[in-house]
Amino acid sequence: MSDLAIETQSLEKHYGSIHALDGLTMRVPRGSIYGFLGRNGAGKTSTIRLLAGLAHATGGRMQVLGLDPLADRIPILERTGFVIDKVLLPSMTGNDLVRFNRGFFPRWSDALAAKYAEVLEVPMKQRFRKLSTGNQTKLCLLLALAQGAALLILDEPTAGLDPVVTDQLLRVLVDDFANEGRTLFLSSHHLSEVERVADWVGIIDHGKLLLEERLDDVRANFRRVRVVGENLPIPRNEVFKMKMGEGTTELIVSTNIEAFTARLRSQGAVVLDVAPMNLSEIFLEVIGKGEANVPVEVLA
Amino acid sequence: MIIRVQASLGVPIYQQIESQVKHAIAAGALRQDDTLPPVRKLAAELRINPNTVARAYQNLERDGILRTVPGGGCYVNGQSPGLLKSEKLRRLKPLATQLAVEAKQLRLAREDLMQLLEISYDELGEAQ
Amino acid sequence: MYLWKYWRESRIAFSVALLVIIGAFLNTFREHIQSIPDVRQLSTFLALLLYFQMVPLSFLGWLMGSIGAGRDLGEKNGSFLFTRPRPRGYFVWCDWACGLVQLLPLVMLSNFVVWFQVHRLLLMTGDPLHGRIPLIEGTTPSLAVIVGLSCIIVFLLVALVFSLTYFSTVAFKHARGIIFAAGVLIAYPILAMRIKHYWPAIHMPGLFLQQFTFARGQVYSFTDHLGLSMAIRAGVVLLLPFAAQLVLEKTDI
Repeated sequence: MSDLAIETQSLEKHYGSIHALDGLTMRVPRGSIYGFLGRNGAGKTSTIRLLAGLAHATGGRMQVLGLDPLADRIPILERTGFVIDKVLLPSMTGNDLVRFNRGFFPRWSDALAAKYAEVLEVPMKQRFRKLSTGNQTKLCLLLALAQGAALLILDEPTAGLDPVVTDQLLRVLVDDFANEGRTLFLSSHHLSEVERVADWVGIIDHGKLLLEERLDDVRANFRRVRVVGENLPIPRNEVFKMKMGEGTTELIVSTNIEAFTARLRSQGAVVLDVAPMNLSEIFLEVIGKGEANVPVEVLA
Repeated sequence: MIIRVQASLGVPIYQQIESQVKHAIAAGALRQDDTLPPVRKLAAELRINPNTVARAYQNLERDGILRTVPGGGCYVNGQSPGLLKSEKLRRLKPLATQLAVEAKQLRLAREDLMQLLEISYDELGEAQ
Repeated sequence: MYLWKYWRESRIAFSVALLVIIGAFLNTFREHIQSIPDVRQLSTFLALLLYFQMVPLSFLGWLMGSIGAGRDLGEKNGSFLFTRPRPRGYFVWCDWACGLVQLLPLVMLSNFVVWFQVHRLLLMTGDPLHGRIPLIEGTTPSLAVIVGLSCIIVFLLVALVFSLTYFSTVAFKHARGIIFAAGVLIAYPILAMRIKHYWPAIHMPGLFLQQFTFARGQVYSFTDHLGLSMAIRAGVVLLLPFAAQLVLEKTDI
């Protein structure tokens, strides 16, 4: 049994001349919470649709729970909960949908469905199309959780939701995840949420994965360093970006910070400050759109 | 005790939890045999990854600060008698170095640094 | 579980159709037939009724065909529905079977009403041939046989309309599919007529299989090779859900 819940190798998805995925290589460890981050159109949804067997890859390979999504789609779907479009059968109520869903999954739990309906305060007797967006999303998540899945794949689950509902969802996700062995793969724009819950992050842009690392390592290594000095020996491979001001240079680095600053000091540079960066700032720098001193929350 | 963490600080969350627990013990807010909330509960309350909480608890247990009982429950240990002074010094050395480096950078005088250290120590009150 | 879903979506159409047919049946009692009909005219009247019922029943088949997986694709439920752990074919064949299982009794009931109406008239003529109707050709098939045959033929037509609409809604994601199917069903007979007009030698098969041939405005005889024609049509009807399944398997959802 592979120790990866999801693995892709050079995955490609072309729509005519548009390359939605352009050689995506990704590894999601079992038992982790993996934050899949990217701008609109970066390829997040395309990736998820391929993993769900809803679309056919143009090239490359992928495995979900060790199985191929095209050849072994049914076993994957039995063990994986998907929330992609957040749309369910419009004329059915929550209870109808539970009844509808029950027969498909051997590990279905009515008790879990009832528990989450209560915790998330989802009206189960209203038709789906009459529910608010927040309730609709909660119901989609409820159904995925009650499946008893080993892997949950969620496409922007908190998009368009107010902070209260987002908080409710996160709490439920974290609580459910604590049942051992579950893997949670979620794509998101809400970086502050991902920052709290993720073990791993993968940053995708233009169909390629630019960064894939443990979040703790990303947090420990990324720093914004301001130095004063002339002709500084900056090792290129450790520096993401360099910005020159009047006498001051700002460096975005991803490295062992003590060694880096020690080296700079030994060359006579004065390190003004070393500031940590939040996930928003790191994200912007990695995809190359960052501006100094302006941390911007990338919202859905 | 109430634990609060911030994800965007650049300090790993598990370290924040460890620091807060140690701080609470040092300040007397947590005494010997007090319990800490179970991993799952704390993670859900803080909306953070349970692995993170688990890691913090494991580190604290490894350092002899917590003990877990089979069947659940995380208890605060008393001052572990077996820890040698040399071991304690060894653990604090990196922090001391960091402090010294920063002080030198800022060109803070040695005496001022010592005074700062003494004030911080005294603020904590009687150690457990 | 999934069959229940189709039933939920189709039960209104089914119930309304059922009520209409029952209403037509009850209506036959209210009629007062003025004069004693001519037994030789009965066959024409019978053919008229049998052919006429095809119109509303085909419409119903078209309606039922617009329900199911195709509609879900159009409403963007595809990413929910097709991440349920079942092969794509499961959804298609469940929808298709459920629709036909509802259409069959309706077809049979409708033909029963026709039979009943003509049977009453036959009794009024004194029923000289003991349940048989004379055709110009000279044969005298029994009323029951004619109606029984009609059941099959009408059902084949309704099934064809249903299957074509269902396939179109799956292939073209619902709304466009319904219109496409309607378009084909209307355009085909027109096309067939045009072809017959310009190239009389070419004989395009009609959408609905004519049970009878006519002469001088009256029923002459049964059409030749009815069995073969029915079998071919049944084959086409069966092909369509296969095609729908293929579409779902090969294209992106």
